[in-house]
Amino acid sequence: MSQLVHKTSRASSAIVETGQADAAQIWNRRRLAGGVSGLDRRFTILLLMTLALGLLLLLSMALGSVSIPLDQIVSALLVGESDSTAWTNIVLKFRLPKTLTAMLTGMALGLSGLLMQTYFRNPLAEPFVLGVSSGASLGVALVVLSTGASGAAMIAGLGLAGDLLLTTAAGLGAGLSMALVLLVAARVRSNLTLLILGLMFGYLVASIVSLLLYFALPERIQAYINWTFGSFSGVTLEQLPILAAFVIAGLLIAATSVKPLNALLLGEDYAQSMGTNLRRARLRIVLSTALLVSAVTAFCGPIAFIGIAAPHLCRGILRTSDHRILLPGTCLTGAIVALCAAIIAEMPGNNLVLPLNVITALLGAPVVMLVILRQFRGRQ
Amino acid sequence: MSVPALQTRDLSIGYPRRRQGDICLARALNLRLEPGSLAGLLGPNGVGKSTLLRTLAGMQAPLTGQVLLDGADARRMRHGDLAKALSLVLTNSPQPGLMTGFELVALGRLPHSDWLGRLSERDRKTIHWALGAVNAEALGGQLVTELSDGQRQKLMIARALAQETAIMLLDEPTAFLDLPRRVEVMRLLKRLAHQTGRGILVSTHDLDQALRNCDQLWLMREGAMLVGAPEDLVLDGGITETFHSDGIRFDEDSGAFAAESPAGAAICVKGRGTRETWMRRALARKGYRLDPAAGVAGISLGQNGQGPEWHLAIGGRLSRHHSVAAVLEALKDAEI
Repeated sequence: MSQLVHKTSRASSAIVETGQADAAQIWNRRRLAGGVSGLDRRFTILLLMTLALGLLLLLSMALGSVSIPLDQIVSALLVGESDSTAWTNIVLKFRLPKTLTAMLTGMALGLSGLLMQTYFRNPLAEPFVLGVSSGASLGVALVVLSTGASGAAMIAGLGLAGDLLLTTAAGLGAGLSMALVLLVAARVRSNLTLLILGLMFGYLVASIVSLLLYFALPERIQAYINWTFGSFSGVTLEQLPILAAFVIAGLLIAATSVKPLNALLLGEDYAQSMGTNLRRARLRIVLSTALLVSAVTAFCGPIAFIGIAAPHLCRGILRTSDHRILLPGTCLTGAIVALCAAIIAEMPGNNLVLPLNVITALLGAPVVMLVILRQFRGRQ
Repeated sequence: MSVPALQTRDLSIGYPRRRQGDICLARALNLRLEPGSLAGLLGPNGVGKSTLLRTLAGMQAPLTGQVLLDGADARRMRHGDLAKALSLVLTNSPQPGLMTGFELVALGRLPHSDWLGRLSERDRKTIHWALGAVNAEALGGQLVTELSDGQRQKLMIARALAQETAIMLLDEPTAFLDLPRRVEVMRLLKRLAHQTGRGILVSTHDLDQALRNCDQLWLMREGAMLVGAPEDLVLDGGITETFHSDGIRFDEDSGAFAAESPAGAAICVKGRGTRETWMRRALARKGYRLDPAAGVAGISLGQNGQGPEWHLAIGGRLSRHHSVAAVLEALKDAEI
């Protein structure tokens, strides 16, 4: 049994492999070279986190309104059949895409949160500070609130989860705001200017959405609010590669920015004096964030909390600011948090499904508070 | 003459403005920073010291003219190459989060390492050497957040050393440090310049330490720059002129700033020892004028059974006092 768990965890975490393999090499080399104390500990923690992720991936597929035994899940995944056709269908059509979406989304949000917090040197920064989710919400609001009566009926009829129209609208909104942010990022001088412009853009768009809501019919408002709750269930197996492609592209760009990110820990002036091309570094960081966040928001809605919490959790656990460790670390932390939230939101053994955004913050915030307080106490 | 590590050619510094015309802080600067020497950049606030350093460091474009590093135009160099030629230490040592002293100094190796910033054996040696050069080996394993400002600034200097550049620029690195730490940092910079052959330029407001440690001073005034050995600049009055302001004047004898021509009564202090020096300073502090020949009052050091005591003579009447404060009190009572 435990062998099986190990095997599957390794297989299912293949997507994180690139980052981890590199990181593992560095740690091994540093260890052999008589490296700094604490590296062994960090390596062990990352390994444990990977195992936890594997376990959660399995749990997320096992638990839900119907519980499915682990061995049946494994056989459904590997052979494509299990003791019950219903189980096979549930696993392959619903729980596999949902689980992978949760993992990818968690990785994307954790990583982009880290990028934003480092780049703006601000612990309150999160993936949405640049206004990407605002753009997406405007796209969705326009579709949901302004289509004619028949359109509204159609959306209501299809159900929000599988609606391609909303995904497209959110993707367009996110993509357009991403293009705008990149355009601005290439021109402005300081990161503070960029931060304030991003926040102002967010307020601007939010007020337009509010205006649309003000004049909209109540049932359409409900449809919009449902979207803002966020969901991992809206992505089909066919759409999954698109999400994965965006996330992997964002990951790769972030991975090549490790040096500038570490240099930026000392601020822009010092980073420049240590050879960082500030403009290029900023474009890379913003582009990576934009790819990650716009794809996630388009497919899952504005998932709150994971982006701001995962980097803090990860730093608290690994006790380092080195991005060579934090990059894989926040990906793992984000994925773990997202999967936990997804499992709890399903309310295992019950037909009830809670809104995702409620779960992420309600259960996650106290955990982050504990970690931060513990870190603070340790410093005194 | 050796090839200067850093040289400027007809450099004008300042800020470009589109409509009202550029703000130019200094023009026609032809400066040379020699390898193995420590140069001190001095000048009143707002004269453009930081602007000059930012321009030399390539963080700001010159209005006109060139900055040459080892003969090459700095503006045409790539970011990575510039970082291998020139390193920087600023006034504020940043709070970089959870990292050890070693990891902070290791950031100096970024221009030399691969795309992931991995450290080679040579990188490690350089980092350990840099930590040793600033006497901070013990800080290597500590978290940077737990260090004092002075310790962190030392690590920032070690980081600049680990960058292995021919030139180091420091913008008021000692501004937030206490006096012993300031002395320590300036002596450290002198030693590093002489021992490692780096050309080091440090801007500071600490004239005394600059006079004691720098091989060369760059005195910046409104639109002009005086360059020379510290002692020459004192003797030809350059320092006195640069730092002249109302009521304060550079005293060329003592090498320190003093209040200008005190208006109080003349007092004569006899003798040349430590005690007499501090008595003179006490009198100067109270605004009395010191006259070596004669005055309304005379002070000299005497002895009694328990130790030294002050003899104060006012109009032929002699009084004895056991402390400086008592002498000042007696002068006040005599309404002098």
